[in-house]
Amino acid sequence: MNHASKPNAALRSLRKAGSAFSGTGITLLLVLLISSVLIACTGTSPWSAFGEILVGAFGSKRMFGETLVMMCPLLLTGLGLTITFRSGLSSVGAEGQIIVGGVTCSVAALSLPSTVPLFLAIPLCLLAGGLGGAIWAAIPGLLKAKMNTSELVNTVMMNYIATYFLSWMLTDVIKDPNGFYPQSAQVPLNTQIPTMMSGSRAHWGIVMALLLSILVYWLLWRTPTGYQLRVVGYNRNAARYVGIPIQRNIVLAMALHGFFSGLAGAVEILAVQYRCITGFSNNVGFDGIAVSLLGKNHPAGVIVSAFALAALRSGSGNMQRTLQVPTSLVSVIQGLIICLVLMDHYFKDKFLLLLQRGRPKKNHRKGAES
Amino acid sequence: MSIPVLELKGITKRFPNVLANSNVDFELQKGEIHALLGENGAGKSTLMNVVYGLYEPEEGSILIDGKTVRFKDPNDAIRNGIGMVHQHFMLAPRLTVLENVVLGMSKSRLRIGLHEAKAGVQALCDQYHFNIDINAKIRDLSVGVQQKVEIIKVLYRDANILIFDEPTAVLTPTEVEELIQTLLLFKQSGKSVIFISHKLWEVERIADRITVLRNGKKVATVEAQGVTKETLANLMVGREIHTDYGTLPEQHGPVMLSLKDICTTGKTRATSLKRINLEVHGGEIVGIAGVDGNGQSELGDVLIGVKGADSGTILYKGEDLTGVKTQLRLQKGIAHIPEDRIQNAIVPDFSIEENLILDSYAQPPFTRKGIFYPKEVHQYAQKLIEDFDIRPPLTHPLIKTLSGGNQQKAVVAREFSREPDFILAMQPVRGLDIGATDFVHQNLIDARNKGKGILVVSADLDELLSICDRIYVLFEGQFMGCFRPGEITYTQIGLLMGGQSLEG
Repeated sequence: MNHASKPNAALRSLRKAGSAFSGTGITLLLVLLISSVLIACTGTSPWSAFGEILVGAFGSKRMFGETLVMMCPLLLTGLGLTITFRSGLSSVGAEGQIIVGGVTCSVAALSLPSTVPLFLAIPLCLLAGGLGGAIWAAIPGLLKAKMNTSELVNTVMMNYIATYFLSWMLTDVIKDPNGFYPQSAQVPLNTQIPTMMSGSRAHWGIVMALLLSILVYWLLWRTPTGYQLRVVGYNRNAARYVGIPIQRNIVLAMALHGFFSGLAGAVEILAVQYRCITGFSNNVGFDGIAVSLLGKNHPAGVIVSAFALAALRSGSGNMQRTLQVPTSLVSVIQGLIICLVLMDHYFKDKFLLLLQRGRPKKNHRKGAES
Repeated sequence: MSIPVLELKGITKRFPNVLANSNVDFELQKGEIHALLGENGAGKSTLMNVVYGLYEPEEGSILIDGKTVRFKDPNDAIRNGIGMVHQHFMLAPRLTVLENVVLGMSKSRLRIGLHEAKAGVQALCDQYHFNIDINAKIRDLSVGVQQKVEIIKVLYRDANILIFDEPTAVLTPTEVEELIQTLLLFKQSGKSVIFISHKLWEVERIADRITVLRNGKKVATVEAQGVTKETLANLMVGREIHTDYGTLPEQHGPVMLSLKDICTTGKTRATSLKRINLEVHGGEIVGIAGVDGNGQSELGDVLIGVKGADSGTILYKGEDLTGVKTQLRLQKGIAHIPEDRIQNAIVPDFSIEENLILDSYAQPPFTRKGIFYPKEVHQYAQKLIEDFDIRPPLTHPLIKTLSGGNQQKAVVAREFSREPDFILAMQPVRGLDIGATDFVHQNLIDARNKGKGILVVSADLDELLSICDRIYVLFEGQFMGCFRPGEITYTQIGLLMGGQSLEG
């Protein structure tokens, strides 16, 4: 080696970067590889399939707008799940919370007098949605805190209850009296979130979600509450021995999780559907898990992964239209992401080992032979 | 001198970024107990793992009875008569003693041959006076007996060279005594023993020769006869070390803490506290001695408020603490070094700096008007890391990447820098090497000299005797007696720890 010190420094920085990003990077590479194989199995070139997805996601102002519309609820649920995961809890309950949030928001919107000005009506309805989700999520939180029952199982159960709760509401309580379908009446104009790009459905809820990402970052790392949540998440015993109230933090984490999911549901009602209908939640609650995991439970990462998954979702329609590759491929990709992200520590270790092997092994050999 | 049964020449073992052993020579004679002494991380275990075939050294050779050998794996080592009793036992808890001993030794794939083995295993037990029921399940046995099973396992494989990796770390004083007797029996029957330890007194007591390792290098091999603890400590650490801190003349400050008739319901009857009365004055270190599991953890939990007492009162500087929440107790000036570092004292996945404010994060300057300031944490951490010599001197690595000693330094730094008036230290030096132990003890002594009240709970009697002004002995949740170091003999303390009162 001529410049012994330089390559060493380079290798060290490479290692550093490698250790930070190698897991996610390898995960994404593997996901692309496996889905390419799957696409190839349908008889289509993976290149053109991914090309069509990109066109579908970013090809025009309208398409880009659709990507953003898709991103908004994914980002909101991902943020909520970030708080949950950072607090050491697991949840698959976002779907139910979105539904309940959508319902409470609709109820609020439909019962607000049309004289309330827009800038007051929209926040009120969003708040109603958020609170609905928060209460829904706080129930498994309370059960976990008080009786140590699995929040994972309980959130799943709460999803079922939410689904049928929605059916009941739509066929009975808030059913549009003038309509035939099980859906609510349109929410009044003063509660509809305005669009922000002409020629697309992109709405101001997206800006709100981005601002909330900063807020979540702030909450987790710049407030004592966030510090508490994270201590409870990483080591409950240590929390106990310094007197951090564990039960309260568990309920708080779940409620925040539900608040963000509920907000996602509310935005779907106020900015996209304009009424409460069956299936408005559209599996976003489950996809949010992939968003949060892929984003490494960090708001900045969650923004990126929400955007990427939204692009995948909105672009896949175009792929199906032009190449007849089914959109359900996206679900497969999401599943792969979750599985592989959960394994990424393994990839990371393997990768680091590979990097480490490069150098010392040579030394070993020399040492052994001399 | 005759040909050594085991000889190591110039052993060098590298790990990525670490030189674990560097050119180490070592020899073991027939019928010898040879101690390997060194701090945590000195390379003792690595060296023995090389001997046991777990690691292949980069350089150097291993000679058995004068012939060079190469071990690919532990099986090679076992075939050459080397046996190892690990610190963490390798036993299947659901199987019986006999099954565990025979495990992996059957010649046929279909039959285990338990019946044939029975007599042999029983004979070994008898030969070494091990009173073990070979049909008992491992999980029903105490740690001390489990260790005996490990020893039988090794003997059953015809080992002539027995390696013990810190065997006394898990034993009670009585069990240690039994182990020492066993080792002497081995010696008599012509077997050779390598004994890894970082405890000076036991090494001094049982070894024939002592080899000291420091930073992966051999420092010296000395005859145990006539060597002093001070010499060994200096060799091991490479600098002056206190083994005797000296007690201050009885000079009681005000009562910092008093427990009155504390009773609790613990997991078992033995861990439940029964009418505990205790006073700690400013300027004294009070010790709680006793075998683990006699209510020590309960006492700590009640004091810090993690667990409530059934009855009785806790007074801190005259103020009733009963029913006061943990957080408030800490804020009032009680410091706490929890019993299990990884479990209870630190958040392993937090950075060093975040761990340093675990009990002050909500107070200024870290939190002001509801906003948390990482910058303040960073500055504070830098100061603490320097003052308490935490290594590496960085604020951002996750604390789990630090050695046990440095993790404990961080805990001590965190607790002591809050300027507490009373310090509860639970097993403060468990698992630490002598350098870190000295550091923790010195800090406790300094705090005492500044007039703080200190309560140290430890299973290590030597530790308590060297730093405490008064010692209570806890047995099955009751105090058996209280004495000042030097007032009663070691044997008498042993009796108290075993539940016998001295008067009766």
